[in-house]
Amino acid sequence: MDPIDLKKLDPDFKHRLARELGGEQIKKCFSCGVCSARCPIEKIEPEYNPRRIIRMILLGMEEELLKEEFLWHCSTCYTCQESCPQEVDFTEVIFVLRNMAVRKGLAPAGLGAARNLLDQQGRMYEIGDFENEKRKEMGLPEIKGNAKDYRELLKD
Amino acid sequence: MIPQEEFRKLNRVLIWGKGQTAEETATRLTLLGYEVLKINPDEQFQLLSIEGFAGDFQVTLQQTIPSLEKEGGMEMLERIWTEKFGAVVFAPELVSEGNFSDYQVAPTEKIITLEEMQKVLIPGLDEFHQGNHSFSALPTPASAGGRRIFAALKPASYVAFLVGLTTEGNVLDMAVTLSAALEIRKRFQSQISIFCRQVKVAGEGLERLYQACRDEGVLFFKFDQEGPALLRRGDEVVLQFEDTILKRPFILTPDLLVFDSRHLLSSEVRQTALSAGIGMDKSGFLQSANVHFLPQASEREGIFIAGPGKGPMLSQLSIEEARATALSVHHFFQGLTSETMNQEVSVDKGLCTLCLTCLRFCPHQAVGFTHRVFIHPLACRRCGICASECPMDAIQIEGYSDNEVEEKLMALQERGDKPEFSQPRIVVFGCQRSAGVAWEGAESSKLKAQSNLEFIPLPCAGKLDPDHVLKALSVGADGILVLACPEENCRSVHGNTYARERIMEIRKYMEEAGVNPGRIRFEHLSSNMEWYLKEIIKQFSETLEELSNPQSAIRNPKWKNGPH
Amino acid sequence: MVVEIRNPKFKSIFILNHNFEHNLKVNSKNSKVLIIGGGIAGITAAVALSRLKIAVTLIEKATALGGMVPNYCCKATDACQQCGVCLLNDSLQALSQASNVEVHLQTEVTDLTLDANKFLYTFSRPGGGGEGRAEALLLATGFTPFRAEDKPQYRYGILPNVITGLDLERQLKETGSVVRPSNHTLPTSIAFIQCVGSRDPHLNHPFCSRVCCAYALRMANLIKYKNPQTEIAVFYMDIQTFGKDFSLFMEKTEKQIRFIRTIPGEIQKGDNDQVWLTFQDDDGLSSRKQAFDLAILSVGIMPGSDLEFFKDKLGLPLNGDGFLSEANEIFSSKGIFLAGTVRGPKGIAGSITQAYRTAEEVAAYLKTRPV
Ligand SMILES: Cc1cc2nc3c(=O)[nH]c(=O)nc-3n(C[C@H](O)[C@H](O)[C@H](O)COP(=O)(O)OP(=O)(O)OC[C@H]3O[C@@H](n4cnc5c(N)ncnc54)[C@H](O)[C@@H]3O)c2cc1C
Ligand code: SF4
Ligand code: SF4
Ligand code: SF4
Ligand code: SF4
Ligand code: SF4
Ligand code: SF4
Repeated sequence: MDPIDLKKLDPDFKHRLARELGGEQIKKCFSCGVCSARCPIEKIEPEYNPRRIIRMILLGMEEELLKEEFLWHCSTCYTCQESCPQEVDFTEVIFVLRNMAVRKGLAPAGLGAARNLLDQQGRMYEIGDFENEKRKEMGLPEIKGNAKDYRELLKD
Repeated sequence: MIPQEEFRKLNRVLIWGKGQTAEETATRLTLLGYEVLKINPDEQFQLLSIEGFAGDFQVTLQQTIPSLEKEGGMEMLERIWTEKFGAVVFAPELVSEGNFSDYQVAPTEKIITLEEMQKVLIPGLDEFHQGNHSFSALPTPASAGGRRIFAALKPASYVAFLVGLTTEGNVLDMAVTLSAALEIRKRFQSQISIFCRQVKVAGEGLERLYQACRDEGVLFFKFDQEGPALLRRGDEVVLQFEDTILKRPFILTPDLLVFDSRHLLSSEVRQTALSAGIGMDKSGFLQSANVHFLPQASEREGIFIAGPGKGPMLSQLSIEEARATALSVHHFFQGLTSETMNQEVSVDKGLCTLCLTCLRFCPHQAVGFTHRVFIHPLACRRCGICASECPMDAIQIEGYSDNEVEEKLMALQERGDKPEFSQPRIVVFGCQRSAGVAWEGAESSKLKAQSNLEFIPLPCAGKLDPDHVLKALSVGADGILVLACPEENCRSVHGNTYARERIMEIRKYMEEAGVNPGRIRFEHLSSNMEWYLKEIIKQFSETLEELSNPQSAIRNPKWKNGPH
Repeated sequence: MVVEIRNPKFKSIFILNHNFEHNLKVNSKNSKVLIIGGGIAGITAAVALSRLKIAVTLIEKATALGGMVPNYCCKATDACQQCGVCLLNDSLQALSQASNVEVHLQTEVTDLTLDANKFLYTFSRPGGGGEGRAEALLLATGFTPFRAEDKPQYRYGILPNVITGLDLERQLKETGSVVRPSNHTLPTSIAFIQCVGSRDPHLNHPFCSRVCCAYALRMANLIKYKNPQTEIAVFYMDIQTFGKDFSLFMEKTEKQIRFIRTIPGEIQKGDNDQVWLTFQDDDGLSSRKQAFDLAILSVGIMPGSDLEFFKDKLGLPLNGDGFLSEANEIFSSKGIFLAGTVRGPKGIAGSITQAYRTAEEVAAYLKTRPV
């Protein structure tokens, strides 16, 4: 693999991301890997790794990252966000990254279908009793919210 | 009591050092009413020797002054003189050597040390360590070198710090690096990468500073073993490395490369410390690695060690050290009254033949002689080595006289071979300060109530007398257990190793005499290891029972009826 | 109850079931300095002040002196590992020989006011109470160890074989060995998790505890020394420097202990009461699970439980980390001084140095303060 020249990456990427709603805490990450270790998607899709995604952001690997299809694999379960010792809101960061990708026209084709899901459920993956049970066991608050709120939100 | 003519106390203190710690110690001691002489250890001043005893040291100093210009160079004027001090404080600063050679690069305009960076960037570093983390805009540096560094700091430029990669790293260098990085980000918006193995944040406010740096966009590259490789490309140095998170190769050609330094004791201080016998650790810093010298004591009573000479530390801590040292010195002088100068280790004039064995063996330079031998009560650490070595048994330690020990052993014999001795009889010689405390604590577990055990406290394991060991065997002990503090933890420094060596000798001697050396056991034990004391005694009893078995190879010839 | 008396013959202290207070003169009228907290910092400061002939009252709410340190083990392997725990015995001995120190065990200050440079206080104790006054106040109330339950993903208190560094200290101190609580057998594999509760802004602890790297690695070496077959892994972010000759210490430690730079995400129950840790693998590319016989959570130093009381009574500011900080002038000008972990995380040696330094400040203050 050819080495990547740090100077050719965009050091401003992390700052831009941090200015977006939800991305504010991104730079606090100290790469402990708790998020990745707890992420359920990482277990089934090793390509997808929150700690690595953050590292790419911090190093300014914007171009490569926004193209990645795995950005769309996050189930937005908030596990990472709630267990990060440095208060990085990684789930929000994923939303920001997706927005950035969409703005650049880099959203994958399947997104339309996902958009429909979102319209119906308020999220990509359904949060059911099972998930909430598991969250409770770990001392995390229940996720409520429903599609109606999201539809309201999306209207604006 | 020590005779008056041999005991003097001078309210004068020599502070051998410079910088913050030396200054603060000097100020505090002056306020406490002491006459203080502070000398910088440098090319001009050398401390040649410290003789005499706590309260009354003769310090020989040397001053070298370049004077009159003569043909073929400068003539050096040398002055050597001796002054008297009651106490000496070593408070040197460390000298720093850029770690360039570790990377095989030479310093240039673009390759500088952390110290240079710090000088132009954060003159308020001391303040910083005291908790003031914000600095007002600084003037452009006056020196040409400083201006060049400033010129290299532009928003588009990349600065790389290499810290704690070829050395273990320390909290001081990390604090300087982090605050420099933050300052550069805030003022020049340059891109900063810090290459290190560990981010050392064990200091007040440092974790916050680390976070502030990340917030500012400073990048951290951490390495497990090797840091980045440095490649030369024309004028430039290229850093080549793998990011440990992404596991992908990167390169960076920094516009300014900042190296950390090795912090060392200057050769002058090192030399003095060695000749004065105050103790050093294995890494070449002041103070032996023995917790009983904490916080500021040295191997010689009346000589103190404060500040970064012990190893790099934040200036916050060196101030703390300075003030604590001032108090210790004050305590020391207050303790120097005739009422406290109790002669706990004393020489019987009538018995002493002035062979000076004690003087040679004393590890603490506590023995002196005029027309007779005397032991300085303050310098003496009561290790008892002299007493065990004295061929005339002329040295006695208060509370631990040979007579008392012998009486105890005789009593053991008188107790005879009562039937209740169903277990092997063990005589335990233990350092009062470690084993003694554990023994008393073991009371709850009834060790003390066991009539087959006899504990004989020693003021320090160094007082272990081979005669007593042999005596104990001759009066019917089945085994001898000797307990000393863990290695590098002896309060009198060498007592434990000394005892161990002596036991080795006795074992050899026993073997020659046909007694199983397994009957003598040596163990290290600290005061808080009661469980281990119980364990050792249990194991030792088993060993002894095994040895006493008629089938066993060698029996203790002195052992009369047997335990069963 | 661990209390001690003086043996006049050997000038040493013995730890006995005895009431310490009986051996000391009670002289509270003349007491100049009130020290609250009888841990290593409070004891050291009391001894330092008494040597300056300044009368001290030392109030300790527990049944024994020593604070947290009596819970800890000696970590000596073939040589002393410089943990400093045995220094407590030195200071207790010094205290037993000190004059004009009055010690009150099982005593709590119930009210405290500062009035014209005098501290008026009331205290309660089993079977009574009283009041007193002092010219200076020295707070040495120490810290509380992080409550491992507050990191629910590690299931402390739920899985038997997840214990804290403090539990391990106690076990080693009392029995000299480490066993799995589930079945009292020797563990063949142990995981240490560093920074549990520290360096964690999420829990409002944005600081390093400064002692847990030290105690964890020293205990890991000790376990390795006793049972060389035990496999030990340390999960960490950064290892902090401690003690003398640290690089030599690390050289030795790195040879026998596996260091993995990541923090495990969670601990789950496995077969035979093993614990399963999920963490980012060394290759950094994916997470994996590994079973250990025992997991040890290196809990850190958190602000003491009574700080709110002093904050309220005396109007003292807490710093951003939740400790009392002396950066603020208010303290010493009022005659309030601090020593030990009440000011922030530090080890035994650091607490001792600070106690001396503070004693020096107290003495200077008593000399120069406005009357
Ligand atoms: C698991 C663990 C292991 C450690 N191991 C080591 C080690 O090996 N080496 C090392 O150097 N350090 C170690 N430390 C750190 C060590 O515990 C501290 O440095 C030390 O205990 C600090 O002493 P202190 O006097 O400040 O506080 P403490 O030990 O906490 O003592 C404070 C005392 O004040 C009393 N007190 C509190 N509030 C009041 C009140 N309102 N009224 C009256 N009394 C009060 C308490 O009862 C207590 O006795 C360890 C820490 C932890 C958590
Ligand atoms: S848990 Fe938080 S700090 Fe740790 S790697 Fe993930 S985002 Fe970074
Ligand atoms: S929110 Fe997304 S990244 Fe975070 S744990 Fe859930 S799936 Fe993984
Ligand atoms: S060793 Fe004994 S005999 Fe020799 S000088 Fe010393 S006290 Fe005197
Ligand atoms: S007891 Fe030890 S320190 Fe004291 S004089 Fe004898 S050898 Fe020296
Ligand atoms: S310092 Fe620690 S390891 Fe060393 S002897 Fe004392 S308690 Fe044991
Ligand atoms: S001392 Fe080590 S384990 Fe403790 S908080 Fe600091 S870095 Fe973490």
